[in-house]
Amino acid sequence: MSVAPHFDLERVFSKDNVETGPTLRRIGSAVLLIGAVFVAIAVVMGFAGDATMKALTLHSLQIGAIVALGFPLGALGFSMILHAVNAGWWVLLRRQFENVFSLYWVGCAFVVGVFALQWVFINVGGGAAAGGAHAEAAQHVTPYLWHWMDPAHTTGDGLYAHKSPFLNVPFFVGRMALYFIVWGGLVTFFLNQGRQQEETNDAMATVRMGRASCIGLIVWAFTTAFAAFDWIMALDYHWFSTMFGVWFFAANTVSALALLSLIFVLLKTFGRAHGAITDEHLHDMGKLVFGFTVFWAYISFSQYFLIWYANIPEETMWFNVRRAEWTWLSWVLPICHFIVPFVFLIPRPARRSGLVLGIVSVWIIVLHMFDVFWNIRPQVRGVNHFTMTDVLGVLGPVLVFGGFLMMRIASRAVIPTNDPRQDEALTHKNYV
Amino acid sequence: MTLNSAAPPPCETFAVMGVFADVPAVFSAAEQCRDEGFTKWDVFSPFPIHGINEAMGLKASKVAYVMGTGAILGVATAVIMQGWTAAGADIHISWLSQLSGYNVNTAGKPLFAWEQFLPVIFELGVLFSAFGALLGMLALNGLPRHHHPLMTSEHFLSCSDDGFVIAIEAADPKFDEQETSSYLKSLGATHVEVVKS
Repeated sequence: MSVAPHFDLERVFSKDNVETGPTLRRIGSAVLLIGAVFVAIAVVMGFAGDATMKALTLHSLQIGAIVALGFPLGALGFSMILHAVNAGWWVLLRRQFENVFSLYWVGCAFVVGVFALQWVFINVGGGAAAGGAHAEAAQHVTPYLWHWMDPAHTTGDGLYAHKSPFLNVPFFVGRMALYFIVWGGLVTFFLNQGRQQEETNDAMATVRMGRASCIGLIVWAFTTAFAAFDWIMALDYHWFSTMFGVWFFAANTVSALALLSLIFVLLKTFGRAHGAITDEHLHDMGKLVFGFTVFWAYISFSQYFLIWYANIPEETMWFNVRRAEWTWLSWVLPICHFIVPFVFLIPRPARRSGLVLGIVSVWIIVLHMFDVFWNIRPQVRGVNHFTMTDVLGVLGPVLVFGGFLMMRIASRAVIPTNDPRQDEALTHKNYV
Repeated sequence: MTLNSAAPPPCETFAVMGVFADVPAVFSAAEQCRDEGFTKWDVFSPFPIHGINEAMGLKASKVAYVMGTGAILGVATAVIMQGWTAAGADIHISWLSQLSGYNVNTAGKPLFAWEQFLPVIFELGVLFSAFGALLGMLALNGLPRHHHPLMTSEHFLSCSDDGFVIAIEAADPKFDEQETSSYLKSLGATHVEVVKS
């Protein structure tokens, strides 16, 4: 049939088409350096500042860490979904998904770092004493990120006593280790299978990845949900939401898909992966970004709506703080994170255009940072404006992740070889 | 041999119709009809053919605009209806002085609370856009209709089984009964027929 597009395998897998060159590696190391400097300045500001500044440092670095961790978790989960459903269109995009999720350790390292920094602030910086010495403000701020770890905060708190079998430091550290082991295991497995297929032309690797994904998805779903409970929801340990794990999944997936769309658009712009990543693949990425934007809005609204309607004090309190202290941001999120990309991605030509998809992807990544910010940062009561620490602490870990990602992309061919379904991906076409 | 022997005698030429044996034949024939510049013509097949839209040079369907209009109407209906019934006691329309809404206090929430309206806004948006899709599709296809002139042809029926049909209508500006018939023949049609209306 004459509709099948003709492709030239020699041309697709030629060196010029699949290698990115040393410039990207140099840009990557520069971005990495800038990110590291940002993180260092934020940490130094924390050490030099009072209890409020220490709390700001911890919270902003935690935001950056969660954003940097969200990209790999989203990419890992979504590639497992695509493996499990045997998606043929996607196999040549797999390398970039691998590049993103192989860097899960950056976010993990930052979460551990924030946990360690809190310990240092409390035990070495004398933060608790500084908080008392500080002029008695209306909002008493202590240099804690996880307030349930503060004995002064939890003494006589019946709710904490009830939750203490789960929220105690040994179990918390144990869970943290478990998440890292599970994610590390999954990432190592998929990277190894991909490498094996590349080297030995082993078609069965595809089957093994598909089978492992079905189990991996369940394990991944539980670990990411509980990580969200531990590292975001438990920052206000009185509050609880059964939707929170789903929100974390939706937010991570939309940010990861936006980041990957941006990578594909940039690869195409710089003349790489010609014939392997086509407008058809961009179209599908655009559809997924559009769909998960709607899903994110649906989940975020459902969480708010049910709590608003039920009107139970310990649940509404969390939203009250955000509505009272971050009113403008509470409106920016639904309008800019949902309505704007929704309207922009509705027309079919927009989803097929690299320019529109690239702009929307950057927009969504920025709004995702605001989303995580809105979830974490209002825990520092009374400082309801951006500070320099917020900018440095959020961008630092994200830039470090971005730097490592660029270096990783530069170090390998941009598309995998020897996939048994590569012809399906090369001839992929959207008919509607 | 006609489908309906009781029908009045055919009078006017409706179209010229060619039957093709397989998908590749009808596909390339469609591409050539497109390039020849025909505008009022169609391809009939027993199953959807991927890529036939491009081969025929069809533009994107306009049904999306009908659907979008339906969605906007649905959202507007939901906002007005709920706002009117839940917080409309003080809204009076001068030419309908008896008619006003209600003020319904639900669990102490604000009367005009957009949060509780949103599920209905979503539902009516989906419902009206589905109506728009269905009715728009029917209208744009000229459906429902009881009869179509092509159905008088015995050979046309093959396109519900194993035949692939291209029909070029007499209303096409480039139509000429003799020339178009031989054109379809030259494209590889196994059978060419003039269909009367």
